[in-house]
Amino acid sequence: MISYFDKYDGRPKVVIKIKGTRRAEKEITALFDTGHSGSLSLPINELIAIGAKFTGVGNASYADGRSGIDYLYTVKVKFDDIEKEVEASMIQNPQVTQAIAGVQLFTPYVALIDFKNSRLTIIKEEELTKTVKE
Amino acid sequence: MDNQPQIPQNVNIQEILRKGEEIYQQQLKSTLEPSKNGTYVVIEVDSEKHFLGATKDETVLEAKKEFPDKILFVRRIGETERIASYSPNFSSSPQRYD
Repeated sequence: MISYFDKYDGRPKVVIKIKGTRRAEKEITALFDTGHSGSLSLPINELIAIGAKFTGVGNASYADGRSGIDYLYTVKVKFDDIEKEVEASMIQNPQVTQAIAGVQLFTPYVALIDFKNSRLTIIKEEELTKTVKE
Repeated sequence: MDNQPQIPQNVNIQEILRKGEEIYQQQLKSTLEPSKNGTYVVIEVDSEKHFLGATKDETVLEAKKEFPDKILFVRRIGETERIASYSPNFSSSPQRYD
């Protein structure tokens, strides 16, 4: 999986593929956000582009204290050899064009964040064990 | 041309939120909290049937097997879902990686 610290804005990001009801899948970059307790939040334009199906609603809160409605859309996500179906939250601000990946998306992966060297590595746990042993 | 993801016109979102939270508070909260805090409940509000699971994705997936075309109420048990920590003014940047 491609994971990195963006040299432009200094934020950790991952590259994933997403797919909705339309045939084509789309490759996107997503901000890697450990403060996001769900799997994925997608901008409106991405949900439209892949034809994501509206699935559910809930109440949600943001880090700045705001609360609102969480609109959920079914999206297939692919990275490495994994394909999983997730419920992506719609990012309701149309000015936000960056997807956000949360902690639930990457189970059973392990994330290694090297802040000193601005390096993000997301690997499977067995690879971590192998790396440690070597 | 629509510029919003489609939401079915016969779906009352506010009603689903109201009924879902009501069912949770009246029927489920006392038995689910605090032992199940952090896990998820999905409610189909018309039948009042609920589904439990460790993650939002797996719980919704399970509920959709029985209610594939219904709009579901999704709730994190014990606390409100935190869906992002970003600023609402955050915008994308070009890919910059080696």
